[in-house]
Amino acid sequence: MPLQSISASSILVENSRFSPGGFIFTDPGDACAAESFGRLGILQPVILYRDAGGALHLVDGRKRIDYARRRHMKAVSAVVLDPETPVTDIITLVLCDRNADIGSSIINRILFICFAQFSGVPESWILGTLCRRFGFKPYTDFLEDCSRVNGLPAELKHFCHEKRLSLKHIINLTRYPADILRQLMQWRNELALSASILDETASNLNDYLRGNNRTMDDFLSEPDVREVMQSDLSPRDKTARLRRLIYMKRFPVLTASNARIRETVGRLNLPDGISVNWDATLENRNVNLSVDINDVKQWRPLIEALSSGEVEKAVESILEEL
Amino acid sequence: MTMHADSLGYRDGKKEIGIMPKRGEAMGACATFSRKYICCRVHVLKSVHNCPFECSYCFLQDYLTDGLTKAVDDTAALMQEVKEKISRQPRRLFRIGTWELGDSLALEEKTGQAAGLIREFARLDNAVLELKTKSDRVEPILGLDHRGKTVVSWSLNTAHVIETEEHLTPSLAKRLEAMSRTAAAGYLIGLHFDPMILHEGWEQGYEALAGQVSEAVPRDRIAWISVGSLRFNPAMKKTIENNYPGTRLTCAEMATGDDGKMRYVKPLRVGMYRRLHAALKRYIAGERLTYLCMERWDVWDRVYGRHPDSAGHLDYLFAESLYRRYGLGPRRPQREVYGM
Repeated sequence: MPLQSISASSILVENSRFSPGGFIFTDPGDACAAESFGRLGILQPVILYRDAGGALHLVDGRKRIDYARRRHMKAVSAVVLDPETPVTDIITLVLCDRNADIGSSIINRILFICFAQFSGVPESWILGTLCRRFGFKPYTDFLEDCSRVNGLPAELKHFCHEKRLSLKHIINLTRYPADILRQLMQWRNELALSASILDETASNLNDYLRGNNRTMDDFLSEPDVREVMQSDLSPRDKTARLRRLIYMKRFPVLTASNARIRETVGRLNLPDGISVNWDATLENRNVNLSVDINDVKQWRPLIEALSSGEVEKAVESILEEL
Repeated sequence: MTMHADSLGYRDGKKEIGIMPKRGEAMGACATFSRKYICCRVHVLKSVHNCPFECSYCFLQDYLTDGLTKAVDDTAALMQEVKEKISRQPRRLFRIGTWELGDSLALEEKTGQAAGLIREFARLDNAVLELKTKSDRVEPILGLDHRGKTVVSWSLNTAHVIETEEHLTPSLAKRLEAMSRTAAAGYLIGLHFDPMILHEGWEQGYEALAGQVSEAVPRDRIAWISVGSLRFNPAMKKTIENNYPGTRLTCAEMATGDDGKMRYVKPLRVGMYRRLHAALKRYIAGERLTYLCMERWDVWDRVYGRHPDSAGHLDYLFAESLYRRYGLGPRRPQREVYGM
């Protein structure tokens, strides 16, 4: 294809039909490229697509165009694709150009698929080419998942990119209502959110709100929630307190039963070396009393403590609870 | 008769019925995976696959890899396997149900499968057929010569649960009417209050249900009553929420048990079972064989004050009750025949 000299100002860059910028996330600038431009200038032509109306859309060469703009260059060398160029060929060029960005996180790969769909690429090509290249299972249902991921709040998508969340975690997040996800993102700087904590918190909160016909605003106005979120605790401690609070609200029966059992055990004032364990889900009717000793002299007093009538009554009471 | 199952999803597959030959082993045990739960040792005959109804809690939505609704048309082949297997233990009574992967009667008008099995089981000495359904499609089986060897069971729930979670199923009134007509045709009736589901007003709902059932069917026709609560694999939580976004089933307080299934936490289950047990005692007095489906020994103790020694013991209790009350089975059951 012949090279053409094209006016830099006539090229659609951000508004290019084939700019994935509105979909994928880009990490901070490439110092290596900047250095190369500084020393050698622009060596390769950019690739443009001329639409039926004559507008020129940037396909490949975002860094070159940015450099040209910074240097106030009037024209750049370009290869111009005609309007009949198959969209799959153009998307392939975009993929090659932005390969590093697209491959940098799972969500970027998902969002690039959405971008390809948005650009009018046939589903069969996305499944057969893009999904396989990205290591995704090529099923139509997966494209629906991609669409749901694209619908997540923008700040959450950015979180998924920054934290390099796995496919499973990202897809899981699409199950939760937007108001919960937005609130968790608002808390992002106050809490220590990892992928699994985010998922657990969203899941328990969602179940609690649905189960009790409450809204996110109702939850935020609950006094114990306000107390935690307005406290001066570190993000880590605040996260632990909030998780516990949500768990207690989500599992009130388990919380109350386990609290009663802990109280029963606490009242025994058992010596160090004796531990009492039970199934916190209450499913197994079983109490486990164990003795830890590192000196044989500890044996008799610990066994005597275990043999007391109080311990027997406590065990009976715990079994009744289980 | 289309068989393009690969292209059918869970819902699409409910709209088409495929008739298929028997493939491989069809009869097996309905076994729980953990000895911590008491199994009744019913046997299952996989003769239907998928179901036209849409219960939001149904495990088939997560279990079936082939969406097509299918029924085995080769009754002779099914019965050959049944006869071969039950002949190995001629002194025990087998209960054999066709409901593991679908509804026993929902497709009957199109397949006639249940009618064929009823006629065949009428000639067997040591087996009882259980047809379990949520449907009201009993017309095709009412006039059959069943000889008391078929128990027609209904999966029952409160009007609220039927309306909100058992989509496309007949109403409670229609099920009860069908149950009355079936009992009047001489069939024994099984009652399955399973899955019990917590909802607003569940206490009054299940009490009312017990009362309505007692009016619909004479108590001496009730062969057995099973009670169980909502349970599903953890992975199914997402499936249910995806398929039925409006359901509140999955936000209840549940815990995963030793068999890998999520259930309401034990205090909630025990509370539900006790309430229903009291209502059943009040409305369906007299001798009843009532059991908990896939429950723990200690839950039995808390609800009934006792538990069977083993799955074999519960199996024996069935045989003993059915023999004593209805003369079913080859001879007076012997405990040792039913094993552990």
